[in-house]
Amino acid sequence: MLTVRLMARLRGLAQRGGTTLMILAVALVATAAAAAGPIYYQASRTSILNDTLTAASLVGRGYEANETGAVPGLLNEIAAAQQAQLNASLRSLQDRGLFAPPVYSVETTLPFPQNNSSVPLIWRTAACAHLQVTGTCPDARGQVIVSRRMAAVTGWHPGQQLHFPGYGALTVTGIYRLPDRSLGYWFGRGDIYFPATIAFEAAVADALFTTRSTLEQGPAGQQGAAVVDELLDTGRITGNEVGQLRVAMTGFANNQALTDQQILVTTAIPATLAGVQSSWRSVAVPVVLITAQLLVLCLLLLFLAVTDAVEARGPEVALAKLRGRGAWSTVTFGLSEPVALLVLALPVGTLAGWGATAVICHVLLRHGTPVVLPGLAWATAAAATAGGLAAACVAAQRTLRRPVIEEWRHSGMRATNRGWVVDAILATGAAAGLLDLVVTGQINSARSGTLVLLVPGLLGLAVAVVASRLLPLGCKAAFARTGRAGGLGVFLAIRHVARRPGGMRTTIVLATAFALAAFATSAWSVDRSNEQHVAALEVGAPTVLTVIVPTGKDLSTIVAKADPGGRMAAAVDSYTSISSGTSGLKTLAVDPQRFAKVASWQSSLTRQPLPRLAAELAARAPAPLILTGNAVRISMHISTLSPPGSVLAADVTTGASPVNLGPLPARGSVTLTGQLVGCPCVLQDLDLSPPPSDLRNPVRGQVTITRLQVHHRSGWVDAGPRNVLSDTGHWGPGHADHPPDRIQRAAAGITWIFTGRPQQDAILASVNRPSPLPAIVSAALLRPGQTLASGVGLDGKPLGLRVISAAAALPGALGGGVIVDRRYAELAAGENFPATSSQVWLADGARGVIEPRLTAAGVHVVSARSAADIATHFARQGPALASVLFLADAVAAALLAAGAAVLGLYLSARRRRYEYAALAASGVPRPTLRRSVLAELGMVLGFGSVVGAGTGVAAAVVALRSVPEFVNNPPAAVMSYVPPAIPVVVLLGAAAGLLIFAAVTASAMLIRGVSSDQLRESPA
Amino acid sequence: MTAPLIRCDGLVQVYGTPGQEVTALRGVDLTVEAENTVALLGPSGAGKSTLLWLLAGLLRPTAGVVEVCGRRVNDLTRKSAAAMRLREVGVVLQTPGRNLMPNETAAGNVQFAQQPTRRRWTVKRRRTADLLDAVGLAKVAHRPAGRLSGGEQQRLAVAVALANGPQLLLADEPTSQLDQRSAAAVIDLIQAANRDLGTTVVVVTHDPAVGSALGRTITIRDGRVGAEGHAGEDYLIVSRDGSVQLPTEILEATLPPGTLARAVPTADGVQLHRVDLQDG
Repeated sequence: MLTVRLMARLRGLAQRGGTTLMILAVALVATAAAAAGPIYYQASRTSILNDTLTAASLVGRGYEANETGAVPGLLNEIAAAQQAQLNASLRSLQDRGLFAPPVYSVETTLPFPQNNSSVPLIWRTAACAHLQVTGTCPDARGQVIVSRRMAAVTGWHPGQQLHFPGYGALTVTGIYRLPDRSLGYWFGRGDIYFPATIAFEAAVADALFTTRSTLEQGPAGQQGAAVVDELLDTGRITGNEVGQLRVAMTGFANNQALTDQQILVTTAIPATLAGVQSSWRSVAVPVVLITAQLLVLCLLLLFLAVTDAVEARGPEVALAKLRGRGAWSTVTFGLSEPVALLVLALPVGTLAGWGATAVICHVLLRHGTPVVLPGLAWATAAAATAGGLAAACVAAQRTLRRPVIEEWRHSGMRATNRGWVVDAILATGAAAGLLDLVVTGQINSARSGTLVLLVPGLLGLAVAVVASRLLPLGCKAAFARTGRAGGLGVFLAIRHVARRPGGMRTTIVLATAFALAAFATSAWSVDRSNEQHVAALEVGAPTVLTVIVPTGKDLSTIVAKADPGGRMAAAVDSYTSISSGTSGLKTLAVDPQRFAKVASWQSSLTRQPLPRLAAELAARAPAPLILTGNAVRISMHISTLSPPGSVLAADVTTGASPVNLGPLPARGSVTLTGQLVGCPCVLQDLDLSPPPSDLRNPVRGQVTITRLQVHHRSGWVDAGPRNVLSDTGHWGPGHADHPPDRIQRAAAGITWIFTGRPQQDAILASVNRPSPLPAIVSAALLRPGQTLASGVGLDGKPLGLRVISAAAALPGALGGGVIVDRRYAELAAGENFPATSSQVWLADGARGVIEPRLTAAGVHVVSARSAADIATHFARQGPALASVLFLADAVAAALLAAGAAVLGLYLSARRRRYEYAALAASGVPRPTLRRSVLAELGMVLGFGSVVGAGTGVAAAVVALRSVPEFVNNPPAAVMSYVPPAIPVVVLLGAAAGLLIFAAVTASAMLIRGVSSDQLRESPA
Repeated sequence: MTAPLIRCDGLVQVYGTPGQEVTALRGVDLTVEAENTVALLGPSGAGKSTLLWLLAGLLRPTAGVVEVCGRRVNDLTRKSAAAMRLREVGVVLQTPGRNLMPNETAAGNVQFAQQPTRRRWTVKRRRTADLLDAVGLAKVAHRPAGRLSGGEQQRLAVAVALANGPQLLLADEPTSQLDQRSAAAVIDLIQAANRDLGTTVVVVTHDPAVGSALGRTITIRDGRVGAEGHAGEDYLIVSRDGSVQLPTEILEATLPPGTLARAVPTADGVQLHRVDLQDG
């Protein structure tokens, strides 16, 4: 019995295959979309978490506890205390194993007379496992291993005994090589342990690694540090722990008990996890908004489909009532098919949503991110099904409540009367929503917000409702014209469109769906474009290598040799200020011509072209006065000097500075000599300071420099360019005094007339660079029209700048900075800038060529950063993931709406088979009937899709600026909000192709099925 | 003496909205005794189908009283009207396809009609088999109704209408879309239902053969019962207001509409004589 009834049901579903297919398709898409939201969000959370933790610095995904004091017993003290406090902070999380095993170390330093420095003596958990040791690892007190670098410099070898005060003889058991100091195991302490290996300097010493007992049983008063480093086990952390872990680590980092014990905890885990949560939020809300819009569209489609389906079963419903079925029994009977389809769609759609989301996540998210099916996905899918059931009940109620006689007489109330009210409500609601978004500043403002994602749906709905009313009106207006010309096909089509209320619903759904699709396509393509731009600007060039240059070598020279053509590589010094007031400001000192070829520059960044700016950056200046040799001698004639005995010194870059030359008499000629250490070096200035006994009086006088020489093995030779003592351009006042210093050319040399200020030296500067320095400056740092600015030099000191261009953004300095000439910047910093990072910026595809050449020249590549990697990182952040979901959902909505529209129109036309059969029987050619159907389909489908796409593009123009694209917004000036035409054109083209194909197929199928037998049927 | 199965008293039915009303029945008085067979005749638009729907409880009368199977149709709720149609009244419609669920089998359609009752499944199944056998469709019991011929569909419709053993069978032109042979088969079934089951039958028809096959004819014209036929004889009915509907042949030949006539009473009736005033 059940089988027979089931077969009857299935036959019924098959007979009404069109509406069955539509209901099933819509229900599947609705449940799939509802389920996809939580699935996508869950997977995104995991991907974002893992991406963030992997990219985080060591302190961003770990902590370091550090206590200084007497070494013996120090580690026990800190280990117990920090572990207890950590467990207390973690509470229920302590058993989750979120942290990798801690790495302990005990550190002290021993005097190293050979280098006039000190050498670290270190015990660290399992150090030998992370070093390549030739020989044996220390396993007893008094044993050490030394680095290969140190062994080469000092001659230490296995078996040798080293003597250090307090520790007696330490026996070398092996030589170690450092494979990789960037390992998390070292927790960034590689700079402390291996300075000689890293910096290639002989004046520092790599650590000696020993046993714990050596340190614990060392001198009681030996000072040092005990350190505990612990990293998060990123594979064990799930999204559910993030919030609690953040709170726990915040408490741990600020733990008073540890502070009282002088234990310093350093961690940025709370900041890292805060970033994770922020990125999650940037996905969560858009997922809800996007899914909700798609669901509303699906429910509307479902409403239309179920209305058609139940209407088609009207005679059967009437028959059921005629046979004595009660009210509830009739409802059950009438809704059995759509309800069955909706219930079937729940598990199938959920699993389909899971599968589709898994495919998207496999492409987009971090490799290996699991895509699970959470309980929430089932819940949202069930909610969508419940919504569908409600929509079905609402859609069916008119047919189910219609009296039997009325069903037989087809005298139901026309839908347009009630539909006008519904349309007015829809349009009013949409307009109100849009107005609210405008008033609250969500649209077209600098502030970005997720609610702006509602704009395309609301605008699309409002425009669609109005447009759907215009289409029949437009057709009615064409009645007269088509009655005179255009052929019978168009004549019929115009009239069918004009009189059909169902076509308006189709137009609304189609236009809204296409508005969403066009907006989502525009937003996605703008996002991708901006990601590429911002990534390129953030990095500065397609690839940027951070390097360590061997001591005494110039990076520019090495780069020039590696890239003779000047098109693939550029040397750059990068300094980030840490001073208050300029914190974060970047100074990029570049080789201007190479920079112009390699940097990721956009012409919109400045008004002037970059090649011209590059020429201005490298404005000519006198050549630097380079002092070589081991001594410098200066001959002067003093016309007047007050106070007498003022001391002359020469400030030089690198080497020992200042070079003390000696006191000057009040009058007369004198020759002073000073030792040069560590030169060649550049003479920065001659500094005349009052004698210690007369500091209050300003230094004033007139001196003429007649000779400037350096001493080589071959003897004294003149220093600097030939005209250094004949061209006043080589010299300038070191201070802006009143009256200003005067520098004149004299027959014997250069005359310097100066009047200083009390307690201020008189300075004669060697001019070797423009002052102020030409610079390209971030516009955000300048007032309009500002031409002079104060920047930060490579040494962190103030640097006068002349603004040659204000840039909307600077490559490599998105947060604000300046670009200056590298050589001049180094001179301004006295060629002493240890806090500066040396970089090599590479053009696209140059890394494979240039990096080996740099390595061969002795340059150590510390890290590499590429714009492509950063763009990929952006693409996996919350806002980008949301835009992909929007695109996928919107395209699905557009396809569904288009399919439903074609199907609905086909079924509607099929109900007019009697009419077509009559026309065919009366002699109207079948091609004419096909053209009629095709024209009707084309009008409704074309109108809806074009109106929708146009609305979507308009919404994009208005609202894209406010759509969140990044977790941390870059400067607005680098972003472009003009939707590229090609993606939308491709979308429209593909849609047009599909719709045309569907319309042609539908019209052919329909007319092929028309026959004179249908004249026996009652007209619909 | 038992109460009649159907009683209509001054029945009036008006359709439409104020200003656009159509009066389908203008005061119908009618009684039908149980186990009778009645054919409702009359021109199109006379109100025959409207009377049938009122008897089926599908309409509520505008005025007057309708009693069917002891229930006052005026007072029926939707639920009680449905209950009446389930157990007391069976309906056969004009179009064979409208009587049946085309995707259900023949047996399924008969079972569908029995579904709301509380009979055991075995009882329902046996009754279905009996009915199909009675209407000659036992061999096609498992064929979808949509694939039966027109005559088979109408026979099946009769079986469905009789599925719950109703007291009253209403049929709206059941043979109008059938060929002669199929129509005869359907009429035989209807007569058999009356003969063997005691079902009262009311059939709306244009077919004189159907009319002559049933025991009584009632002619409705212009919303009123104008004539009755018993055993082949037609009789005029004097309505409440005294009006009488003359037979069509008299209207066309002797006393066309608008004619002045003198009524001459006789011992058992009246004679009508045409009068020409010019003749005096």
